[in-house]
Amino acid sequence: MMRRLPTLWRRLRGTFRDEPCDAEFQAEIEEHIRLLADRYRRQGMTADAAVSAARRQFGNVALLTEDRRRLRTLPALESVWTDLTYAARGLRRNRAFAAAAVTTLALGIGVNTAIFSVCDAVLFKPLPYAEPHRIVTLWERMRGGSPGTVAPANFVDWRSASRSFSAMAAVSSPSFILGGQNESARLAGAAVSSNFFSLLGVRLALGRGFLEEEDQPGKNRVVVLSDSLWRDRFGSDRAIVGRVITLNDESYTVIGVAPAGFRFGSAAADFSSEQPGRRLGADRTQSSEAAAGYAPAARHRAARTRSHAAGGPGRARHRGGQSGAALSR
Amino acid sequence: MSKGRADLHKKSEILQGTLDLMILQTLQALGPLHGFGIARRLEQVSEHVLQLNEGTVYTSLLRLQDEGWIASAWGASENNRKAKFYSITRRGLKQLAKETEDWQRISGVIGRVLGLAGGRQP
Repeated sequence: MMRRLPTLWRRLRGTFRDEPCDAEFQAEIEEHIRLLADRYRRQGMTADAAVSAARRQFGNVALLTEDRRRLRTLPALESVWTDLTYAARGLRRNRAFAAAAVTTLALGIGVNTAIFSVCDAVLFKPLPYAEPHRIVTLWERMRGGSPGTVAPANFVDWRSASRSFSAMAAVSSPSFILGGQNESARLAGAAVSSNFFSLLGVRLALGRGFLEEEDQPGKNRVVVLSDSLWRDRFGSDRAIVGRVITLNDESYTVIGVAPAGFRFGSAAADFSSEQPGRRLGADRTQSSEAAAGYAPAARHRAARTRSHAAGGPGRARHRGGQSGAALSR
Repeated sequence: MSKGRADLHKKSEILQGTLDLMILQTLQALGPLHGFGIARRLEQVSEHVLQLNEGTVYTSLLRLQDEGWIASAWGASENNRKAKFYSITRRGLKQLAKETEDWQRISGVIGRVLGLAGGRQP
């Protein structure tokens, strides 16, 4: 294989420019014929007869030159070039057809790219968490059988009763309005319990995660920013930790910044601490279909399989008298 | 005399691929040669039996060079003219050994087959 490389190189060179060797090769042939003619002359032929006899003996020079050209160039490459120019001419002659072809190609490529981007994000890229295969989202099953968010009371019950999960964190997705000096912005974010980042095994790029006491009402005005928000809105300010920002007209203290690429759910989210206790108080009076529920993230214990773990929330159903729970990634 | 004349008129077409083998063998036996020298040597060895367009020697030389079995360099010929000298490479020597073996095996087989046919004739 290695020795093929110089050959290929020489052929490429031969394809794109006529080497000076062409002349040398011609000279070599002429010399050969001259020597043959000399010999015939010595045998007593006239000069003209000797030359024509020599040429006869040498054979077809044009054919030989052709052979040489074939050996010295890449015939495939030349015919490819011919095909390309022919195709270009055809397309220029037939503009409507060319436009249709280009549009078809563009659409095809675009659709493929879009589908692949989604598949890549959803299926191929590993989630940016430690041991992502052990992380699940818990759902309650609604009366109709469709999955729904978990009532905060159930979450507290599950968390204390379940032996299938090493940790369970509450996540809800309220909307956040970031207030600023000149403009406010709507953010995608989540309110989470304090063990959220430790459950996912995510190390913050800046600052610290939530403390357990920050689940308590009154101490929960703390927020972790996503990397993109930190860059776009706060100019990658490394002194951001400790600053107070306004979310939903309330003051929150920034305690950390999530690492680049960290995401939860579909959006790169901004996180504020959530206190299940307070929510719990409110929701105890509501029905289990309450819209303001949690979609808790939970981490399997290493030794348990997924089907095993499904028994955990199942028991919770009996205990709590609620509709069932389903697991999903 | 009459046999010699018959031979002259019964020149054999050269077998495909055998020219390569003969050139390799010539270069191995005589060392670096230019194209004209190779043609003369083939003419001499074949005792004018082979019908050889001498141009085909160059086709063969090109092919052998392409395979890397021979190398070429410019030098001065006997009468002090510039000429390209071809010499066999180490890979060419290996190829020559292999092809010689192949050739002997095949010609042995053909010889036996022809001998067999001859034996049956009354």
